[in-house]
Amino acid sequence: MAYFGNNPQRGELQELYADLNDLNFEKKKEAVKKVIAYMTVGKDVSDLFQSVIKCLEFNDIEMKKLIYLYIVNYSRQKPDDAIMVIQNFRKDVRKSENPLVRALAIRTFGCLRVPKLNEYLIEPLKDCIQDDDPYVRKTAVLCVPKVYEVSPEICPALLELLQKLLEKESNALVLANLIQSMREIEVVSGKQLINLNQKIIQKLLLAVDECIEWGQIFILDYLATYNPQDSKQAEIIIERTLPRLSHINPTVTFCAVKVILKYLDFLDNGELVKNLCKKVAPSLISLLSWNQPEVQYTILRNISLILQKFPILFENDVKVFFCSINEPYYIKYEKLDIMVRICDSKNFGQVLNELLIYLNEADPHFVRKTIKSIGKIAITYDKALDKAVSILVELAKNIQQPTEPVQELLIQMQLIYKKNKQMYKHDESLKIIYSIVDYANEPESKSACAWILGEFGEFIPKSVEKMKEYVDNFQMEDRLVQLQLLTSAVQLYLKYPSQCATLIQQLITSAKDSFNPDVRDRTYIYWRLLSTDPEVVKNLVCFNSGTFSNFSKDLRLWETQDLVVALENMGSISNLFHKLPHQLYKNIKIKINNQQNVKIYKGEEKPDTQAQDQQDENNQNNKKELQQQSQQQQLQDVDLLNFDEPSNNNNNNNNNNNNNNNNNNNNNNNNNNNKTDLFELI
Amino acid sequence: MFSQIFILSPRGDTIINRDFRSDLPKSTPETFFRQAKTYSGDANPLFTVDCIQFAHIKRGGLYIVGTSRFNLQPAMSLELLDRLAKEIKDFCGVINEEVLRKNFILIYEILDESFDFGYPQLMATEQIKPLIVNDPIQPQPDSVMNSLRPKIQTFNIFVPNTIGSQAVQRSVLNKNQANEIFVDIYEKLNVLFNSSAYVINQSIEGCIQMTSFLQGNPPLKLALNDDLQIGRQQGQYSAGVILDDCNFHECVNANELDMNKTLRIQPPDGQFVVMNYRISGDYAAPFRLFPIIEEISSSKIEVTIKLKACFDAKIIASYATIRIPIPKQTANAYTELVKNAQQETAEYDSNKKMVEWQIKKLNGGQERSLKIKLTLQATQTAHTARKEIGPIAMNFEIPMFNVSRLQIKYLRIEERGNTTNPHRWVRYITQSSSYVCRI
Repeated sequence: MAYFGNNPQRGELQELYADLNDLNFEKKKEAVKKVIAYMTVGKDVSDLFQSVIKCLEFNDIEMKKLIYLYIVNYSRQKPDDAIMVIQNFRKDVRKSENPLVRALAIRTFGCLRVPKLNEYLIEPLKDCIQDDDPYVRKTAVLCVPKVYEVSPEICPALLELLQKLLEKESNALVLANLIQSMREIEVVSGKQLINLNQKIIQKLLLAVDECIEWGQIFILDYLATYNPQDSKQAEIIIERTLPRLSHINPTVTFCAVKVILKYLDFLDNGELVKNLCKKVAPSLISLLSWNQPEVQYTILRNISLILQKFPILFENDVKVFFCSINEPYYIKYEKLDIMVRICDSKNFGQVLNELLIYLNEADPHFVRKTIKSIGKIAITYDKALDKAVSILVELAKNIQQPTEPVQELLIQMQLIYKKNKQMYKHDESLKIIYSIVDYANEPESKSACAWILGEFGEFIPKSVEKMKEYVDNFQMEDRLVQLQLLTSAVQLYLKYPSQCATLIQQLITSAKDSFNPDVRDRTYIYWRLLSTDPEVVKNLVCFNSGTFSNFSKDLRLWETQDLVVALENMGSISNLFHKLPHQLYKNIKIKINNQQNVKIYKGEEKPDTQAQDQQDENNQNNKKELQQQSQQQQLQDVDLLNFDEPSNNNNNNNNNNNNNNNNNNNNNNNNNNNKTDLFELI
Repeated sequence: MFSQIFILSPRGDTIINRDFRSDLPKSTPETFFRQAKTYSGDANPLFTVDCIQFAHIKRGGLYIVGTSRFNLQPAMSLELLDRLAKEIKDFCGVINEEVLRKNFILIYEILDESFDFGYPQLMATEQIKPLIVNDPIQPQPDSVMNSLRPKIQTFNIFVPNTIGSQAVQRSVLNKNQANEIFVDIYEKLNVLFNSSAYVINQSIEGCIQMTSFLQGNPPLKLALNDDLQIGRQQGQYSAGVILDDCNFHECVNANELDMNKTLRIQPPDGQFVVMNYRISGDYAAPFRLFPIIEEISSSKIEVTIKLKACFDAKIIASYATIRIPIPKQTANAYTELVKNAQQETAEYDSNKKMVEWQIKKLNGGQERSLKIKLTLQATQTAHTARKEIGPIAMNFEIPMFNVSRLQIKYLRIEERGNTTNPHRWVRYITQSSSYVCRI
């Protein structure tokens, strides 16, 4: 026994020892309580094991509870002593009239987690699973996974018993625990345990109605993993789940939504699907209005996931996602994101008008996000392009300071120009945007300016002078800006060979010795090319054909096969980070589903999205043709497209994810006071 | 689900520590406390360290923490901790370090009934009461009153500040009290106006809340408006009360709602939310705001705001507060109320750049107005500054008034053979949630 440190002083232990062995019952009880108190604060009182379990001889339930608490904590340290308790447990389970005592004994027994004790447990546990009292059964059922985790080899008989119980059990709470414990064993063992048939499903559905809320969550959550056999079955399950949509507990409601959305895939009746969508949407919206902001945040994060598969859900409800003045910023950001996702040919005007108002808000970071959203809408929805651009240009007219929103404005305008190069060549907007390039002070926005300068040099007054300014400061710029400047300067040189000759010379001299290999290599490539044949460079750098098709993909949160997994984990913490469970946890393995087709539920008559799909397809075809001619061009495309994303991201699973991370990081950096991310991943 | 649940004191000492699954290191309380202390304000309710999820809530200065290495549902885990706190409070009366230390045995008992293997089991005070053998130990005599307070639902209970209710201050334990029940209908309004007082967006979040002191908890029958309709069809017009969506407490049977607009209720003791509802359709907003901005010169702006109460003259709104943000470059602002204005104040807060206009009482049909004269600093012109005015936000409470016209037709106590007729009280209260006018 140690004399120092965390352990109680020898004197204290001896005193307790004396009290535990006292003949007076009350004194014993007090002593046990003291022991538990020491245990709670982390002091080692395992030496008293023998004396404590001696007190079990009293048939007092309060005393029993105390001692069991002690045993659970120390059984693994003293397995040999714990064997002595076994007889007591067995006696309690077999002989006690009181169901509370039986349940208490079996619960504690399950928590011992000592392999060699478990074989003694099997028989009493079997008895308890078949007990007459539901309280005992519900406890016993949850004991099985506890035992399975420690010694799976002795469990087959128990598992059979569970399966039998599933057939005949009628108590809702026991059923809920049964489902939960069997699921857990399924995950640990990898074998299928629950064989659902029509009868069991009926019973589960009945149990949902009778169960306490947590049990409802277990059962609904399980039903959401089941694949119904046919449309009829799916319809029945959905019908029985519908009343849960109006439960006051948000998690129950959300689980019901999950079940219904999952089963929609199996319905043949299109009309029914539409009606169901109309029922689900209001419930989701209600979840946003009755709950604390934390819960709202989780719901919003999940809605953006749901929207990828079910754009139909909120077709007419975009107003719900308008930000209100007194919401925390993390809610506002999610709402912005969702507004962009819901935006379509019918409501883009409404959305843009709302975003226009947000531009007057005081918080620069929120304004920046708004500008980004407007840019996204302009790039994704062709019909909205004109209106979105006019809003941004109008904003540019009033700019007098290099604020944060200005940077985003330049970045978004560059992306818009990049997608619609031909349309804006002679446009008035170009001059207005050009008038604010001096306010660029972030690498991303500066390189956007450099890009505009290179691409539209011939339409901009004094473009060469401006480029000269940039080249003079070349050494001070970020790598991102340097790379873009190289390309843009070459483009400008090809447009004004005589005026830019010295400029390009100066640029090459200062860039060729750069410490950065990318910058150096690009310099050398252009240098060689320019000194051999400027015509080749022209083909390489000034390409006007082909638009970019992969802009619209940006809105997709998940790749198709990941979407299935993500939807299965709806509501869980991994979705909060917009990740898959196995990306977040090392201990979770998932079956990667290679399902390539996910049914997307769109609203009716949206010719324009279809048209766009078609356009995308055409573009892709075009691209394929172009591919062979212009491998280098392609490389550059990629470079240009990705340059607003950080390259230091390890997670290359999909670009969209990167984008999200990027946003989150920005939030954290720029807005510490506002606590933008409620739930943080460390 | 949860692997462990522990309760830490504000200094990080472990008061309660229950390990359900033994799959996490014993040092998690220290890990949690160290991480929680790295935040400048309150720690995030949920964070992850080394693949371990920590969900926590803070009650009475104590951290109530659940840990897990599973992909748990964030909303649910916070809800569970909150329920646990409610349970402890129901049994012990209050939650603070002293009480928890004295009652730690009892709390272990509660924990064992509420969770098994980390899965939630019975989590309502009434359900576990018969299973608990320990009695709470009270540190102060007066909390005995509270010790067996009924279960209080976690869901947002509204607290009005206008009409005091006797219901709130009374203990359920007192057997000699009157046999009565209180029904409250609360509505929170969200309205967004544009500058010409045209409504852009509006919705009502409402709830029916009961506080029952009925002896023997007899079943109740609550009837609502006859023209009530649930679920809104696209483009449909109806004169009745249309709820977009609603949800119910577990004790409510809503099967007959569609048929004859009645709810059957098996009330628990004390306060609970019978039903939440949401209305998104058009309704007559109780107040209208008319802001007028005039540029007097390049450095002077005059803002006039007219407020009109558009409800019955018998009804009196109270504690109306209107906040008007004004430009950051304001050098000075004068507020001018109408002559003989009573129970009305308007103040300019130069730190927040905000004018606050308070009206203690406002009868229906009345009009009030406020004039603000702004002088700008030399650096900004009136033309650019006027954009920084607004949006105007309003807070108010209107007792005995509800916008949706949802009404309690009758409340029947369905117990045969009982001659005494318990008192039934009904209140209506309307509050602002977000009442904003853009400029």
